[in-house]
Amino acid sequence: MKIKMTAIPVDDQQKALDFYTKVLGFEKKQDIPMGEFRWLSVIAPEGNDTELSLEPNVNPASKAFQESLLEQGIPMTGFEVDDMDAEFERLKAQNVVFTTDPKDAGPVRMAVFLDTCGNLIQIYQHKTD
Amino acid sequence: MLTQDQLRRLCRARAQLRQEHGASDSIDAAAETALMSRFHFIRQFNLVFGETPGRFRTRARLDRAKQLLAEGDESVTDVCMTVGFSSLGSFSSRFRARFGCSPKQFRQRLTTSQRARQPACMELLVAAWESQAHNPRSVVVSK
Repeated sequence: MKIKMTAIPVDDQQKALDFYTKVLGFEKKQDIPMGEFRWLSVIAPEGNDTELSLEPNVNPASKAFQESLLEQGIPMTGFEVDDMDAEFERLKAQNVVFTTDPKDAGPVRMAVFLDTCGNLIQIYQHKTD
Repeated sequence: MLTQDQLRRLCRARAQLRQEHGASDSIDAAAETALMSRFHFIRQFNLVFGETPGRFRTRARLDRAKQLLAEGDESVTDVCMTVGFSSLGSFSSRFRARFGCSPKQFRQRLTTSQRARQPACMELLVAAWESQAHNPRSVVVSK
């Protein structure tokens, strides 16, 4: 078995595609129209081939879960970055809202921001001593 | 940086906006819940949720309208008024832009076809694969 795909619930798929490609810099991988929704996924450009599906958050159970996590300030998804401070500046310049500015946490430096689709995203950089 | 308290208040303001989407002054009321001026609330809401409170409210109205059309037997005009649109024309055109058919067509389709399941997780991918089964090459899956 391999881990090749994971998903994140989003409240609007077009808004999500704009944020995940134009702001975060991922690339669109699949886009299959399915009536009101799309099968939509993105991939990191730097060769990591795990797909992230931007999933329409229409199931009431998933909606309640997402909203509750957000209100509690808990991120469920994390992305690794090579240079935390550069990423922080890059995202800030695009008006991304952070709930945790970069800080040291044991073996990593981490920060948390809002993806504009109802999720908190944690980014982290492994420290090299 | 947004504090946990500010985020929580914005979440509550959003929930309130979804609940009270019908009221014309709902954005002012939501701004109060967020403890922000109307101007600051609109700006912060847009940064945090990726759309203005007004756009969010329109989406909430359309979602509610779709639900009422699917579940009840109110006329299209009544549904339009119930969810807070003042003009049938703008209701219909926004409904069409969002769901791909007019409110009337949506209701007609529901009565003639089985209601679509709400897609979630891998179910949507399976449906996408099935819909492309006649042309498997058009589905690109990483290997």
